[in-house]
Amino acid sequence: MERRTVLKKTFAYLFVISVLVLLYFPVYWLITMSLKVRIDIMSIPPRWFFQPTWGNFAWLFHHYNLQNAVVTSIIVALSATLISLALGIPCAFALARFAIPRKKDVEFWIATTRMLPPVSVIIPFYFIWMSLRLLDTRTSLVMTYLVINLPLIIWIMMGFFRALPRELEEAARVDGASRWSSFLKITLPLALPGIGASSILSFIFNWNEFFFAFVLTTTNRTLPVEVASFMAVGLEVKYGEMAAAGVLASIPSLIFAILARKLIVTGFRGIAGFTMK
Amino acid sequence: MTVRQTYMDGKRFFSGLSENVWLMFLPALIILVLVTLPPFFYTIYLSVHDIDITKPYLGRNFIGLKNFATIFSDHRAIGSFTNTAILIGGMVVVEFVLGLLLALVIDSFFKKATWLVTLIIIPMTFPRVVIGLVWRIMLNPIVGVVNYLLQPVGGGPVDWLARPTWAMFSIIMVDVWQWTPFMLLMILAGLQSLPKEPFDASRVDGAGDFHVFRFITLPLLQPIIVVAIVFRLIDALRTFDIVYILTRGGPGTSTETVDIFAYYMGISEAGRISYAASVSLIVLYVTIILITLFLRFSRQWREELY
Repeated sequence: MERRTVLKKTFAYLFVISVLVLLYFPVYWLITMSLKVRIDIMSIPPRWFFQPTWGNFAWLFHHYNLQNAVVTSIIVALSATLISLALGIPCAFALARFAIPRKKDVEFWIATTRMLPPVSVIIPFYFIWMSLRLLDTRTSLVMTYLVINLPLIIWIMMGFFRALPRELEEAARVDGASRWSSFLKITLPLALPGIGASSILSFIFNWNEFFFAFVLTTTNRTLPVEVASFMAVGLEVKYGEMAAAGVLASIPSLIFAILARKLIVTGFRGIAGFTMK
Repeated sequence: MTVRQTYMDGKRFFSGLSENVWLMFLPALIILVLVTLPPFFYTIYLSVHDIDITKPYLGRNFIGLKNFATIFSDHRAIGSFTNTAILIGGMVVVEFVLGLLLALVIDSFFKKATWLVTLIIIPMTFPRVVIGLVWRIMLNPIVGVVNYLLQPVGGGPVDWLARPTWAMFSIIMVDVWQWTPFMLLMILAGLQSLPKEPFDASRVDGAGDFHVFRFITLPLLQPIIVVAIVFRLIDALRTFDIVYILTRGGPGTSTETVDIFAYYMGISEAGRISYAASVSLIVLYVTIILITLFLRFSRQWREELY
């Protein structure tokens, strides 16, 4: 018996370690590539030890003007997230608490919007923004991102509000607080973890979003679109520079993932409709 | 009648909805209507017309459902549907098996190691574009590290992204790499919410590991598994970036998914926006069916639990 558990434990450790190695090898590869000069990148067998350089990052800002994409990405991701939070949280609360007519249908519609295949809206969006002369602007991108964000936030927050006890709100209402003030002063503070989770997730999704930004913009490109465009620049692929841009594009999400790991776990569960703590 | 019931029925506290509630509720819904319904109706309008933006002189003729009929006689279109089915099927099956295995291992041996789960889910937050590019470079037949690492194991050099089957395999592999953690997260949540008694009872009765898993864990987990799988299916249906970055639908059209096909048809190559709109409507119908299933199962599961 004793030996069998030891054996099982060994297998479990080996399994988990190999999963971690497989998961992190590409990440390691990305980071080292961004610090390598071209000859080191192209060499086979790979150079595991090399002289690191910041040259790739410097090139991005001195010769490529990546600042623009960084600024666009930040503005678009932040404003889409903030607008969706302001609109989505009260809506989720109302849906979770009050007897709204045809509630099931509304919920279904919201879930559908959240999971909509992007192709099915991209063509109309393209022509609608074009006819409004808003194509290739940050405004249109933010508006388009509301399609993904608003339902996401409503969806996650609805689960959170449902899981909160009603008694406190009821007590506040009995004491004469209005619906808004009981919502703002009692419910909202209790729902802070949910708000954190949903806003971080929607920021990450906005920041990573590729398809809409790729189709709808040509000059106001976001970071992921810039990164992707390296594949097609000139005759030789600029691997190192591309990796450096990739590292930059991954940093915000990475920071959030590390700092707010609990929130991200709850958020991902919330997306799939799991309303647990 | 308890306070809660009156609250829910809206009898005493909320007889009818006051303006306050509407004010919470409507702004978001109005915006949502504005950003979803016009595109939706516009897509339907496009799909029943024959519009080619590269040939504006042809006008906008109403052709009814002809576009949909064309889809079913177009090899490339049908191919893109099959490719999508193979891809998302492959992705979700592998992700489920690996995710379940990982969840069981973590639940029985690493219960207290919350950092481990964090470490495993971090790759999920990386931009898919970046992931696609890293893998594309690693899979490169000449400068790629994957072929180099496979050499000692006996794998001959493979041109991963230039052979139809290998290209398909690579796309599935990259998606599995990024989204298995999601399955793990869902299944782990399920495992942790299971009641303890059946497990203790069966242990007392002397059941082995496999029997416990087969006859207790799996049946108890089944609802959450269904929810997780349907959810991943819906999400996998939207995989544009990884395919686009890795293969652009190639070699030829052998990894062309519906998204890529509609994008080429409507926007980048052909300008046949009507045709692309009809294709995307079919994707939409499939998604709606999946979502209906998802909501039904997840509601069932929640009602069972609480």
